[in-house]
Formats: sequence, C-alpha cells, structure tokens
Amino acid sequence: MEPLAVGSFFVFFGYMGFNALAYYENRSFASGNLGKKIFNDKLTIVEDPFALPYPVMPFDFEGMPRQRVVLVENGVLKNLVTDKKTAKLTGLKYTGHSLFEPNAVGAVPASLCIEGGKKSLKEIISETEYGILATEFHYTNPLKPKTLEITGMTRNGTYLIENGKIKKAVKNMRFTQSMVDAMNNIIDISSEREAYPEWGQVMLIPAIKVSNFNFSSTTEF
Amino acid sequence: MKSIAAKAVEIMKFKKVDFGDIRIIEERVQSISVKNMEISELKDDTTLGFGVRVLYNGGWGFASSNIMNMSEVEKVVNLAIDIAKSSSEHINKKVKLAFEPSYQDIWRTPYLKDPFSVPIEKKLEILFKVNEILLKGGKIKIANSKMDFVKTHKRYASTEGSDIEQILVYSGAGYNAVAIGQEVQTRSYPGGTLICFPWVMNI
Repeated sequence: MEPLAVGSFFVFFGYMGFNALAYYENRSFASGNLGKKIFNDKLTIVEDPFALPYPVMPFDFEGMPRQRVVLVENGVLKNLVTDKKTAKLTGLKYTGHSLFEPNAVGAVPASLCIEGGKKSLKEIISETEYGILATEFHYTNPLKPKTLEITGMTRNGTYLIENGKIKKAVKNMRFTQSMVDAMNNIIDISSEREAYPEWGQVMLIPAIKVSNFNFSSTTEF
Repeated sequence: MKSIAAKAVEIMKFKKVDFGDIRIIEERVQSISVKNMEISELKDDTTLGFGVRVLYNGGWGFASSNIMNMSEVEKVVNLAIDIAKSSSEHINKKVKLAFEPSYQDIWRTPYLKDPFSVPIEKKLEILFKVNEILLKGGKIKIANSKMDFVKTHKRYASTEGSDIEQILVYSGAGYNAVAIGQEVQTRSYPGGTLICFPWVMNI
C-alpha cells in the first residue's frame, strides 16, 4: 500500500483509536490495551507536530501547546492523546489535543507520523514475489470501531507484482479488513514518507507492505 | 436587502449586460446536541452575503461579498462584469439564454410554529429527556440526541425584471444509541429526515 492508500484509513487510527475519549468509552482498540504489544514490532507511531514539513497549529482549541506523544513504539501501545476533559477522566497526561468545545468527539491527533523503515518502496516491490500494489484507496469507511475493520475501494492504479516486478494493472477491488490485524501483519515499511492531509490534520505516512490483506470483492473497471 | 438588490440590477442594466442577477442570502443555522446527559453542541450561526452573476457578450462572470453596503455592491457588480467580459473573449460559443418570463413573488414555508421562537431551554429539555430514556437500563453506553434548525431568507432579482423573496424554514431531529461490549453497535432514528417542529416535539 502506497502512502495515499495507508493515509486514507490511518486517519481512523487517530479519530477512533488514539483518542482518549474512545479509549475511556471502551470503543477503541486501545481500551484495556495500554502498555501491551498489539501491533507488529516494525510499527512506531508518534504524534509529532514538529516533524511535519510545514507548520501546523502549535496549540489546541483549549490553548494548550500540542505535545509530542509517542503513541506506539515497536508495536507497543504507549500513550494516547488527550484534552483537558479526557485527561481528567482517564488520568492520562494532558497532551493538548482538544477540538473546539463543546464536542462529543474527544481528543484527536493533529500530526500522526508513522516512522519510516530502512528500505525504499522500490526495494520493497523488488523483494515481493507475488502481491498487489495499491496506490490509493477511496470510500474508506469503518465498520467495526474496536478492531478498526474498514472497507473501501482501490483507485487510480492497482497493480499485480510478480517476481519483484510490476507485471500488469488489475481491476479495482473492495477490501474489508481489520486494520489492527493488518498492522500486525506488516512485512516492511518504506523509508520515504508523504504528508497526507485529512480532516484538519496532517499525517506523515510511508508505504506499508502487509500479508493476508483481505480483498472482499471485485469490479468490472 | 431590497435596496441592495435594486442597486445591483440598476448598475447591470446601465452597463448593458446581456443578463444579470443577484442573490442575497441570510441563513441562520442552530444545532443542539446532547451526549450522555451533557451538552455536546450548542451552535447558532448566521451568515449573510450576496452573489452576482453576469452574462456579458455571451460570457459568464461571478463575484460575491459579505459586506452589505452600496459601494460594495457597485464594486462586486463591476468585478462580475469584468470577469464576464474576460470570459467572453475566451469562449468558443457565446452563451444565449432561453426565454424565461419574469416573476415578482414571495414564498414562505408554511409552518405552525417558528422553531427559532422556541427557547433553547425547551429544546434542551427534550434532548436531555431522550438521552435519559436511551440510557435507562444501563445497556446503552453512549446516547446522542440532536436537533437542527435552518432559516434561510433569500432575495433574488434579475435584469429581466424578476424579484423573488423566499423565507425557507426547516427542522430536523434524531438520536442514536451505542451499545458497547466485545464490539460496538449503533442504532439510530430517524435516518436524517427533515421534519417540522411539532414533529420534533413528538419524537
């Protein structure tokens, strides 16, 4: 999955996962799992407003400076983002991630950064014996909040990789996949990353190669 | 509104445009939500502005503003005309409008009660009551109830002589309940239907 494909579902990790209110309300993959290893050890995610290639709002809607927060380190769920209210509710550190008040959404990361790996996307493709290269997803929507089961379509180029080479274009497909599982099935993460803006936040996203990804149906186009 | 619309039409006619119109829209939107017996949204926004559309020598131009005075109307109309003149030089086929008679009319949404005349306290009372019912029994972990009200006051005037005023009102309300166990399930009612205020009271 290239960065544009990963970014389209990764926004839900922030909104429905690392959000301390979702955690408190027991509707996040984080609920009951803080401090546990729930992802592949290749995965490190940092909420880092200073890592982006251009400036973002340096404080939240309650006036608190946005903090750098290590959310996932080598697959271990370390921290969540909070606003004043959810910090109080959960006892977690107040990290400066409020939205405008009042709201029922909770605290949302503003600059999620997935740490890049060592190999380039080109190398990752060249090491793939048999696989699908998805450049972009769209109509990407969550089905189950706790496992982040998400469904969406491929678009703007989906390719078959055979023996390390892009062999041909394939028709678009729908995927239905628990992204918590997908982030456990990581094989490689690319060194190059792209800024991906979505819903008022900007993420820094690499390409990610995973195994056992579930494409649920095909199309005629 | 009336004088601004008249001024825009006067300038457009003086500048001999093929066709021109102005829409002035004032819109008030009120949104109120309650989640788990707490107010989660309480918004009452009003926006006001106008847009001018001009056909000049077969080319379209558009300009708009939210500053409501005569000198601004003149500026915006002239800008729309300049844009129309420029576009007329860059099109393959000049636009020609079909004949349409002019209308002078007013339309108001018929309603039994203006939803904006109902105090916010009354609306909140209903939303809290819905929350209370949903949360009864303890199986529902998250209850949301919501109301939206919109009132649009629109004035339209064209160089063809149309002068139409509309006052449009609509309301919507609904709620959802979220049960959380091993997984999360949401049920909601209704599916975002627009309904009038007495209906809101009955939900």
